[in-house]
Amino acid sequence: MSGACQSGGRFPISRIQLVALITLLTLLLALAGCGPKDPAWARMQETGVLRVGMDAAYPPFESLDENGQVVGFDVDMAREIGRRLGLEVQFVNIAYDGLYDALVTGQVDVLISALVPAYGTERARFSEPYFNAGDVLVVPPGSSIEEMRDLGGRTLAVEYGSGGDVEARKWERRVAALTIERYDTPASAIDAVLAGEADAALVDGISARLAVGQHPDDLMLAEGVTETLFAIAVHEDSNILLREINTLVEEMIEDGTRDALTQKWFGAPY
Amino acid sequence: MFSRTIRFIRELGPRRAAAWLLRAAVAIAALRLIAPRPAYVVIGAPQTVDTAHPITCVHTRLTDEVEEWKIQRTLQMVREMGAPTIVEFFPWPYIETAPGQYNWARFDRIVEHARAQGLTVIARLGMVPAWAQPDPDEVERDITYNTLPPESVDDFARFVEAFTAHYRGQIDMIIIWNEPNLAFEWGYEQPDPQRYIDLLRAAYPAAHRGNPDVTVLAGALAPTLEPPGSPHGLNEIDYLTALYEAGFKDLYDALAVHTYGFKFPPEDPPAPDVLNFRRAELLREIMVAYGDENKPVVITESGWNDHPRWTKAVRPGQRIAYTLGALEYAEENWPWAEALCLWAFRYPAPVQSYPDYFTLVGPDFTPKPIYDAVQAWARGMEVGEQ
Repeated sequence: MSGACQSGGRFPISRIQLVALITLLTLLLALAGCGPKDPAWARMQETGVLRVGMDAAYPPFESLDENGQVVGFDVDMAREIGRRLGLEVQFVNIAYDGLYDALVTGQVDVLISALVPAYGTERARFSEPYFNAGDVLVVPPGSSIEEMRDLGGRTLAVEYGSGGDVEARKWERRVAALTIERYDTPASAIDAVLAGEADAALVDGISARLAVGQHPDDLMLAEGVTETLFAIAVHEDSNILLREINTLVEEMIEDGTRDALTQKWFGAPY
Repeated sequence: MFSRTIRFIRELGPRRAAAWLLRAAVAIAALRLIAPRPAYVVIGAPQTVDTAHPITCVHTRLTDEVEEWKIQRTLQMVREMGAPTIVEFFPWPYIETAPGQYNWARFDRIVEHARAQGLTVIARLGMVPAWAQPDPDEVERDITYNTLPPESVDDFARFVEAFTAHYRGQIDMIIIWNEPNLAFEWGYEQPDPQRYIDLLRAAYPAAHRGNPDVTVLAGALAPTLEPPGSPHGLNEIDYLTALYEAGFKDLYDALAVHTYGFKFPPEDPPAPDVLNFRRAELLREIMVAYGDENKPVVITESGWNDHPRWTKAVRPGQRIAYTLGALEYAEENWPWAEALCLWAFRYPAPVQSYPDYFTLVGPDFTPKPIYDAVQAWARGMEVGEQ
């Protein structure tokens, strides 16, 4: 019983056990302070506000309506993220060139602005992608063209100099007798399909979906040919926020929220 | 660690230890067998550039390119495009790793490949090694890789002399510093024209000591509208005028000019308050006003951007048309311009932002349509001919 601390019988543990307990508690407290720090997340929990940076000059993802309010796919996406996190969403309109500076300097908590992830940068971390704006084949309903390999002997319309043009040049060497017609804009390339001058158009996924939304009886989406992925950017220290956003992005893709927003803002399926 | 390993081997016994060693050797050999081997690169027979328009030039980005075959492929594609000249960056810290200790091997290889492709190399010299910078613990301001303290100017000049001597007969055109009218290029210090003059006073004679035949390009000013007193920089019109007032005329052989078209077509007329391609003519007017009409100009950076969102970008088709228009315009109207170098030929990896949309070739060497268009123009080919 040496070293026992039983005076008055009030402490039914030994002195060694007491020291061990105090050490353990101290360690636990210290470890609690060593957890992943996320200043943005801590601030959001304190204020109940999620500050979203975006360049409201990129419809239909983000733009200003006639009342000067931000509207668009990303705006609805941000509101839904805020709702699911139980946070009020505040939008900060920032010119494209200044988006990452605003994030780094803590003026906003996230960037939701149709951003292509710049992986490897020290300035931000990126969520799982929520939208693919890569080049898509657009064809008339009933067309036998489902993918690029079906274009043998056909005419493909593209925007001159675009990523679609680059891809078309590759396929020119892979399928026989592919004719490429080049136009000044994606809209002109799609007009060529509507006018029957081309069998298909290969344009970016935004132009493609908008065109299908405007002409649902005359156009449909076929193969997605390339990837241009959009993701949400957070500060490099925002470990918790990034984890939460990744969970929500996955949920919103699986529960159809992303598809519904695509239908709302493009009038076309995802 | 070592003693624990010895104890482990003793506990195993000699036969089991030998068996383990054999297994490890087999595993290492197997890994070596499946590991991809580096591409074997030979310099190859000397080539010549087939061009109908020798004004065509590109700024390459080989400084951070690791694999030699990519360096070679880049330079082959430049030659095949019909551009006889490249501008490449040779960072001081990459070469003079310690005072007086030069490591040329990496850049010798680039120069060797360029010369094998028949290309003329213009070397841009800049950046500051850590050993030539102030101790970060002893100064209150931030230090960047562009921070050049006045006491290191002579060190830079010694590097310039060593550079021109080393590459004499291989590189006969160098650019001293980059965009000195921007605070960024001085480690976020005020871009005082006198500082650049001081740099040239040391570097210009040093360059000629190393190679009497070298052409020293100076200027390479950034196109900007920054007014006097701006913490970010000073517009290049005022900056160049200030340089001349401080004795610039005797400190360079040819003017390096950066001129970008941004949203404007190449023929858009120049004006002091507009950033466009023909803004280069305003700099030429200053040269002429100070009696330097006999010195040539090299457009060491130029071009348009076709990023879908960048506010200064144009559509891809416009970019192609404007670029070809600029080459034709410079060739016909700027007899003082020896070359027009497009920024940039290719990046080693995408940066996933608007700078990617300045390039002519993707990181995977896929030529963009603008590459084909410039090639067709430079080589005088009919469209579709390769």
